[in-house]
Amino acid sequence: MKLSSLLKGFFVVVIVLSILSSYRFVNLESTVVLIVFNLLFIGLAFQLSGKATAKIGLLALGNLIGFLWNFIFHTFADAGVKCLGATFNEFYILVYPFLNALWIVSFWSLSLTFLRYYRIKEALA
Amino acid sequence: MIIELLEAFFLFLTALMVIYMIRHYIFTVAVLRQANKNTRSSNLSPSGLKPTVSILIPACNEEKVIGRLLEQITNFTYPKEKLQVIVIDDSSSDKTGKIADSYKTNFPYIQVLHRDKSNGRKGKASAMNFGFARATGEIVLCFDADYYPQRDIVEKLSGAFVDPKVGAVQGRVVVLNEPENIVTRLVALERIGGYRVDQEARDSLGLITQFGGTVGGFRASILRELHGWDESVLAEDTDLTFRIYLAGYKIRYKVDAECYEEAVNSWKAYRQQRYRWAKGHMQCFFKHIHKVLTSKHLNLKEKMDGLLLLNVYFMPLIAFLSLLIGLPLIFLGSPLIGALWFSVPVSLYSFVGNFAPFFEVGVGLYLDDRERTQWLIPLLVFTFLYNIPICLKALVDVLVSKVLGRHRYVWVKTSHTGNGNCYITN
Repeated sequence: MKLSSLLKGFFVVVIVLSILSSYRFVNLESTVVLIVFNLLFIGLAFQLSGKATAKIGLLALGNLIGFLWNFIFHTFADAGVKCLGATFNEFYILVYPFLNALWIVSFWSLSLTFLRYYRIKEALA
Repeated sequence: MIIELLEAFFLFLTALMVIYMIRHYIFTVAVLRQANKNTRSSNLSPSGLKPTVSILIPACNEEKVIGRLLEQITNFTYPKEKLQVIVIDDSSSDKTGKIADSYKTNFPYIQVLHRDKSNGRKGKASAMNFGFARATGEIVLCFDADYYPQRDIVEKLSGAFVDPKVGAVQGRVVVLNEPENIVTRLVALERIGGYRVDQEARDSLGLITQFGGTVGGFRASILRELHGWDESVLAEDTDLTFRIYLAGYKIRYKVDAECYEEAVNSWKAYRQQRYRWAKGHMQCFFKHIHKVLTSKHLNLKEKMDGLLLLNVYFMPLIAFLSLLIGLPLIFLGSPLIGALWFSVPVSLYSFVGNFAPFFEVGVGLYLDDRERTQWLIPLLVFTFLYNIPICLKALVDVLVSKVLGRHRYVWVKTSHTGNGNCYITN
């Protein structure tokens, strides 16, 4: 019981840190993306079967992936601008939503696969 | 000045997509809550009501699938003395008519109407009206020839008519040949989003439940009151949906009344089918939009949902248009685009979800206990991209027809291969 509370606390900290870091180390847009992701995930995935700890854990993992994803591409964009000029930044702006959709959708798909096992478990019980 | 105008237009398009995203989010949450409560809209359980039922099956060159459907109908659990099955052989050049005739000989409740080339092949609506004129049942159900219904589907569907306000009922469409190839798999995802989440949510939230043209039916008296199917509209199902609501009746959705369809299995067939749907839907938009907004029979939320439903095939175009406008705005250095605030929800809804956003399809798959199918959700982006030119062509054709005053349309029928037969196990 205590372990699960500790885990939950740890995951919440990871979520908060990911959001703050995205603002500090990437940009405001990435923070908005993470907030949208959290809203979607909390509203939907938390209604599915499974332990709360597992869902918060998934959410924390999603936030971490989102932050790293945005950080890597942001760094890549910076390098691109330095090498290829400001036009690269416009290209990056254009593909940015697609890049984010990529990790959000994939992570959502995999999360559902994971949470489905809880559903089966509950059905069997 | 131009930048400001473009920005305003971009904001408008974005707002529209955000509205759609919120709408589908509400749908998804509603269905999840319903599933958690375990009190589905299918509480319209078989009521003991056993009205006389006429089943209409329009068929044009369906020799590979018509026997499968008729065989299953002979296994229906509904009392045969209350059943009338009418096969409308719409001037088939293959063995469709002969196969249907062989069933007529052995099962007296099955009738076959043959249309010759002079009056046949004028589209599904025309064939349905031809069959409906001979229907004697209190309830009229429709099945496409490539469908494979559950044995007790008539009980499930007709049970909805206990409520006198119900004018029509819709059952669930499930793809039969899903494992065939990537096209059928993606169509199956779209169907799950549409039928497992969208339709059920609309039913439970008291919005506009859509009659899908098949796996459903009507109260015959209402259908007569409405003068049957409109033969000038390609999406005769959507048209009838709105005519029923505008006449003051409701449509109920029964998620447990399942029927299996043979989905299109090539990109070409997909394009032809979606083009017909898009064009028909757009026709319905122009035909019904004013009536929906001014109807006394619809409440505010039904009007709003009706408006969004009629507009749905414009969405791929709107998303594409927002990209076209967004592109020059980026190069013109618009601060609006730079902030990206708005393109994020737009991309979340449009680029991945097409007509049903990714989270909706995912929840549908989850509720259906589907294993690993979720992994295909990212691929829905291809159907979205494919729908842009399809819907664009449909819009141009509808507008050209309107300008030129042409109101007759050519019906391009979806051909069925019978490949779904191998997936039937019972």
